Amino acid sequence: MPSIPRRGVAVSLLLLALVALLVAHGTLTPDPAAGRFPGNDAVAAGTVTAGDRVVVAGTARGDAPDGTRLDLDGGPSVTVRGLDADPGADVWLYGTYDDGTIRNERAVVRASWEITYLYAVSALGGVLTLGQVCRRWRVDTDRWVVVPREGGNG
Amino acid sequence: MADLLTHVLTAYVLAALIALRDDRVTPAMTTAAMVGGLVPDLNRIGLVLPAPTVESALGVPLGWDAFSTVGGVAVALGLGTFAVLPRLRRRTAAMLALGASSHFLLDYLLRFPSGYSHPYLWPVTAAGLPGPGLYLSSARWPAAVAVVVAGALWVAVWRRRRAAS
Repeated sequence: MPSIPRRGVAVSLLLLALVALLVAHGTLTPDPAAGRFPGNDAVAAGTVTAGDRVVVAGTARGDAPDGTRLDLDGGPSVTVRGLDADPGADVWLYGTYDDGTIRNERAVVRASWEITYLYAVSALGGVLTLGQVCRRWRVDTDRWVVVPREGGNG
Repeated sequence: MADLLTHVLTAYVLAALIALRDDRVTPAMTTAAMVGGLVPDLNRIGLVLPAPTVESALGVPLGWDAFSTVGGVAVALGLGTFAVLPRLRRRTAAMLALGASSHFLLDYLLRFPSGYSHPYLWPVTAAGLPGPGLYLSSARWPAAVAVVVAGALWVAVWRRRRAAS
């Protein structure tokens, strides 16, 4: 059966390509001209300078002396000027970095329950799909393929 | 990303619409479309296996978001296609691609603070695309609409199969 080794070669090449893409994507760096702005990591690492445009995400923690305090996800606290967000709100914003503070230009402000909703309903979608896959397909361990359960007619 | 329920139900709706006309689109094939609708969200592996953790363990850079690009999806769909028997490959590939394409379209319509979407077309281009910003991933109405439409089509497909048998 010549098709079996050919399939093995194809799957091996695809797995290699997948690893190559995952590694290559990990080397992408911010490029504002291409619409990819420095994020939480860059602010935490201190690699942004005054005037840089950034896109950051975090949780609002109430008023700071000259703005709103924002705890960045996995990073430090920053002060955001021109942001209207209740304490505890999830904030995702585009703004300009200036010496430890960020001037907000456009923000998406969401209550924490909205993020919980997003994850809960997404988990439901994942479980629904997994359930359908188990219901409609099975693994044939003799040939190492997945086959439809409905009599093999596809 | 719109929510995953909206994505997989949208893929189901598109496949079910074809199933109403074409008997080759069986329940297994509509399920393949749902899997295709899920693939770009495989970048969420990063929630349980953060990229920095893997990077420090393996010593190489890693971006799970490659799954949310046409390059990563094409390779993942190729793997899915080779998981089935040769006579089902074309149909399975078409259904996986249908689901994944609808995922990219729905995500392109999302609102991003910068006005630029994620670089979905990578590695063709690493640029974010200026999008229309129609809705947020946490909006409730997309899932509500998807549930109603998918439910109606589920009934329509079920009635058609019952009439045929």
